[in-house]
Amino acid sequence: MQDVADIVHIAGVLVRVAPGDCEVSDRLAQQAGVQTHIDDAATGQLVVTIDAPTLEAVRAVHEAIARVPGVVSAHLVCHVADAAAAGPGRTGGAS
Amino acid sequence: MSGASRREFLRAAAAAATAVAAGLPVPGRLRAQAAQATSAVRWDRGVCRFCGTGCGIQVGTRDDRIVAVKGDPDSPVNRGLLCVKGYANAQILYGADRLATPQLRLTDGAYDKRGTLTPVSWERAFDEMARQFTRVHAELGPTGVAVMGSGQYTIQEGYAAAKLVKAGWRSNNLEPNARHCMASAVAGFMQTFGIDEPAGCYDDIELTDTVVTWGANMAEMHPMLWARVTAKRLADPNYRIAHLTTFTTPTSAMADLEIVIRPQTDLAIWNYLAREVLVRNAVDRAFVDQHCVFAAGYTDIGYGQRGDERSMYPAEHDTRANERVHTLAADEAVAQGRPEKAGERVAHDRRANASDHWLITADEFRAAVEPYTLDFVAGLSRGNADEPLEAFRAKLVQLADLYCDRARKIVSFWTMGFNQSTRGTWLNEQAYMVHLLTGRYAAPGNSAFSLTGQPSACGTAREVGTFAHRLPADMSVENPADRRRAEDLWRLPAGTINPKPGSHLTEMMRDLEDGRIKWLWVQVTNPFQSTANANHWVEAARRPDAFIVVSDVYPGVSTGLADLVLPSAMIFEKWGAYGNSERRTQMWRQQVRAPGDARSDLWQILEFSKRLTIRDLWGAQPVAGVAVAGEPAGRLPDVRAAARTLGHRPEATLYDVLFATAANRQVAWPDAVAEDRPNDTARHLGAMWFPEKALFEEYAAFGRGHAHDLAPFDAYFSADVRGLRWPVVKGRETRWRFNGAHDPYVTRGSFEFYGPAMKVLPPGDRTGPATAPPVSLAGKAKIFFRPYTAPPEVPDATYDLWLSTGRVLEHWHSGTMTRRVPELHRAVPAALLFMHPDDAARRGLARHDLAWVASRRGRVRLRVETQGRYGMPRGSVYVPWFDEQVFINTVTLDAMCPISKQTDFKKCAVHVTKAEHSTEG
Repeated sequence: MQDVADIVHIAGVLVRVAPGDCEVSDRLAQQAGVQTHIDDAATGQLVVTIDAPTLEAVRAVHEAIARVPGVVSAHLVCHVADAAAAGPGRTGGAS
Repeated sequence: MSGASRREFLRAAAAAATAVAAGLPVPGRLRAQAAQATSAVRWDRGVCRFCGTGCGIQVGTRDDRIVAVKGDPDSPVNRGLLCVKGYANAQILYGADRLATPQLRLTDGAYDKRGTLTPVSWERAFDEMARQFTRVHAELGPTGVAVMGSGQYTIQEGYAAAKLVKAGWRSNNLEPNARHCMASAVAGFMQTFGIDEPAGCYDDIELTDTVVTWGANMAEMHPMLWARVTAKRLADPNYRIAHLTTFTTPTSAMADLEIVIRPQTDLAIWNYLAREVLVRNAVDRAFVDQHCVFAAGYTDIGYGQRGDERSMYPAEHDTRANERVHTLAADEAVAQGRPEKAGERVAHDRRANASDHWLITADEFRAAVEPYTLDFVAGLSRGNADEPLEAFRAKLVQLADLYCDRARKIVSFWTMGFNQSTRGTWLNEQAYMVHLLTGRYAAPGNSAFSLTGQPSACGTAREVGTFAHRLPADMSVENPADRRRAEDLWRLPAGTINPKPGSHLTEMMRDLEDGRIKWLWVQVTNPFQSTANANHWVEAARRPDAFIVVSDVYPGVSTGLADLVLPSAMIFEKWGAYGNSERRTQMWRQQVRAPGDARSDLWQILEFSKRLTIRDLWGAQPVAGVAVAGEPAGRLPDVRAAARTLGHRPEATLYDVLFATAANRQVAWPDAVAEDRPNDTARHLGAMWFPEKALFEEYAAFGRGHAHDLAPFDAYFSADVRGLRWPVVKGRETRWRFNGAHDPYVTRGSFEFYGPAMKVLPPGDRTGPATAPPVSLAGKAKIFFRPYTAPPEVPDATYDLWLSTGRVLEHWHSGTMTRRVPELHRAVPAALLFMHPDDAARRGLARHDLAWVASRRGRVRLRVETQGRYGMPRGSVYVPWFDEQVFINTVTLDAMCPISKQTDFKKCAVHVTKAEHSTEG
């Protein structure tokens, strides 16, 4: 299957971090296309999104997140493939 | 909204959904942006298309396209989370090479087996399909035609296929690919409990202290259940995970105890555990006395290889000969407690009575397991020669500690490592043996559970009964009362249903090769890639007089061999229902339209049935070996006159008689439950009735009142329902069957194993039944003794390595769907040969070199991997089977469990050599 050029891919990923590790969020911020929306220290959970131009790129970033030191697990929750969001305003992405 | 702000809002929507799944509060800003971003997206519940876990998803649709998928936070199965295959639920619909028009092999406009697949209309496709059906039916009768179906059939598709084949065609040649993945679990349930499907449910993961996986790489194959196991392990310091496997897998990483065993020796380890339970006085005597009996069966039951040897390759004969007359290994002589000594030859002369069994005494059982001492079993079963024997012994003791500690709750999970075994049924029975002995089954936190590979292997293949011997709700074509009940419910003349089971899935392939089946319709499966010893079946499909129809969504090995390819609608392009491993039935609505001329498999079944009449099919029919009272041997009766008295005219089509019945036409389409969504099955049929609802309700009548109760169709679409676990009685689902505190079918006592099948048995001893009268064991479960037996083909001087096959996380089965998703395909583009670095070096192979893997049956070339996710012990190699370029099933052996007829894809003998030009390709 070919990715369609004018579609953006956005995934919501639930990241669980080792108890007491407060720096995972900073490390995640270094991943292109990754944004942390919620950092809940009490439960050791982060809500992050991946914004990338292709599904393959989403997957690559997802895998990279799972390898970030301090990350215990990174589960996909949501995946959106959206045509209307693509276009001149396009920013971010992992590639 | 500009693209940029829309992206921002979409990120907010994804974040909000993720927060909900995590149980975190959603900030007001995110919630507002999310609402705006997804205002044009219509959401509806669905179920994941892939494995048998049955994760709940939410499907987002806009402009007739699925644009979003999210884990359903209200799903009790996955609680909003998804594994990496979750991305694929939408993407699999949109592969570039999606099949969208029927294709028939033509030369100069006429059907020609050697012609080119050419687009044709549905009309033309069905014309040829019916013409070929009539030709073969006239020559061979009902057993000359066959359908290979699927554990990916929706419940309604499987039910319609069963009714068409069994009632309409009077053939029992219908088999699901689930024969390859679940049949041993079915046989184990039926023999032990007299009824199919597990007692427990996924709730046991959180309610137990101990999880033991047997031949189950849950981390890759059932990731969301594994996530629940590991979350519990992290939260509970008392929780223990043990992993029994023939090589190190990703599941090993979280296991407290990893036990690498020699292939086939799981049979011996269970008996060691049973012996320890007895020796350590860990038996729950009250439970066993009140609810169990002891049983045994024949040992020399063969390995299910083919009976007709005409088509076998010369190199195959020695493995088959070892089945007919088996030379006892020293270990077997001890384990089977038999008079013959090691090296003696014993005839496997009970092949025709493989499932026979009888009662034995508790003392006889104790004597039978006595040889399975720690010393004996440790010596037999150590799988990694580099592990010191003392260390391995200590691990077995630790495993026994877990099973014998009755203060612990314990769950045993298994998958294909168990079920795909030449003794798969025995292994299932042995798991129940230990759980029943210790009184830890069918109760919260105590379970022995076969995890399913396919999304509806349970709901469709098992519960509907799309096996060659089955009728719906656990009934059998061999049982006169069951046939009568099915004929009554289906309003068929008495004697319509053929009492002789059809061929099992691999036997169908053998029949095709030997000319006993010449018309085959394949739906929702890829059997020419997935059936072991496949070189034979590829040849079989090419027989000039065979006509192969394949309904599929993407091209694959099977469509490549087809004479007619039918394009199917998939998952959210149709209405459907799946049943997962824990008896949970889940439904979905059609969300989008299928591409081009692709149509649902249900529509294909119903539309094709319009072309066949009862005049042609319900006359006297030849069926070799059938014996019907009042008929000559080998003949089914003519039931057309009786059909007329039921109001069926001779020219009535099977569509009229079986599907568009007066009752079903009362189930109107459109229906409010659709909430204005389409139903293209009804539309293309030109029907004003609702096929998926009508057929579901018709099917449900078989199980209601028979401990298989399904809820009304509409109940599954209630806002607060995310599937229901049957039996659903008075609106309530059942979490633990056979348990008086939870199961309304238990009429007396704390437990009642009320399954009715095989519950009258003669007494006997380990060698056979006595002549004494049979005894009723109503309400009880059986604790079987089953001995260790060597497989039919073991590594030798020529073929010196064990080969095991299976799946990888990223791909699902034959890869026809997941290989269309670039992220999955590029993550694991080709199957690799996983092997120990020393085994590779000894053959002059380095990592990434090309190697040949050869067996007596075929050979494939692929790249060597000595690192990566699997740690192979010396002497064993592993090859995933998703890759049609590395067609590993041309190498595997079609030996099987003689009781369940499930193939052992985990064990055969191969040799590995360096391929020339190993830097190419």
